[in-house]
Amino acid sequence: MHYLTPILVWLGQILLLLATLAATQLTSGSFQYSLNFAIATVIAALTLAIFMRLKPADGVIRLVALSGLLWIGFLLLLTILDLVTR
Amino acid sequence: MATGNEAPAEQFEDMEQQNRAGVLGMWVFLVTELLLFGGLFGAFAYLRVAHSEVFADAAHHLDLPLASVNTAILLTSGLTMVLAEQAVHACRRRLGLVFLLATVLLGLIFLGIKGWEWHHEYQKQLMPILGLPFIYPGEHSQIAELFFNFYFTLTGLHAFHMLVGLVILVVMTIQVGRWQIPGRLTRQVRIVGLYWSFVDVVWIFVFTSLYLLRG
Repeated sequence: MHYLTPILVWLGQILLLLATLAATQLTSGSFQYSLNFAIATVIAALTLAIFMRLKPADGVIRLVALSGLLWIGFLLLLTILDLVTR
Repeated sequence: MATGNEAPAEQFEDMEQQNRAGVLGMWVFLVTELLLFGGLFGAFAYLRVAHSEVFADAAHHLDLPLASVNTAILLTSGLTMVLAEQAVHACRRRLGLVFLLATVLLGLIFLGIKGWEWHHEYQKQLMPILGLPFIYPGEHSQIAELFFNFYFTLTGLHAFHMLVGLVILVVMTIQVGRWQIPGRLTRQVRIVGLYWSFVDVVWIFVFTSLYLLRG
């Protein structure tokens, strides 16, 4: 069994959680929001890559995961772009 | 280690293909779940940009410290789930049971805390569902009500997914307890682990969107 990697990833996620909370307390506005989402993305990426084993996965599984990410990326981007360009 | 003495199902050439098919099937399902949550996030993002000040103010009425603890609990359950997968794969039945039970316990604690939060919001009359009165202690209460609608929809949908996950985890715990066909158990625990991790990932963005954007 390989305990070390999952435990280190978990520790990293907890530290990132603390970092995002600190960012919420110490900063504000769009800089804070960008920081919050960047940290959330890193936490999610750690879960996807290590816990969900996307990193060692074969091409087909990575393609499925990427298609999901692309889809939601387009959805959010185009929705917000529509609003801010009015 | 869980061995390959098990014969593959009729439609597969070998166990490796069957394992890959199972994992791929779960990933495809998770992408459909992303469609489900994605629609909600898209609508929330639109309204968050359109009514940024009111939504930021409304977020202050949520219990950030409690939700932060809850987030840490859910992240820890992700760890115990991965360790359960590893234990079952290494044919360590007792250790697998310990980690599966830990995951179930952490999931139950998460739902308990979530229920407690909802109860608080109900007491503060910030629960605009099922015809309950919504009394917002600030300006623009109709827009704030939109925020709380999203809050209960997103957290409610997430909690429902947690509940389904917990039921499956309890079934898996019983199966691991019986320890029949270890190879099959390894596959099943891995697939359940994918679902549990996904629920984790969704919560990270639910937490960030609802609780943290308050500056």
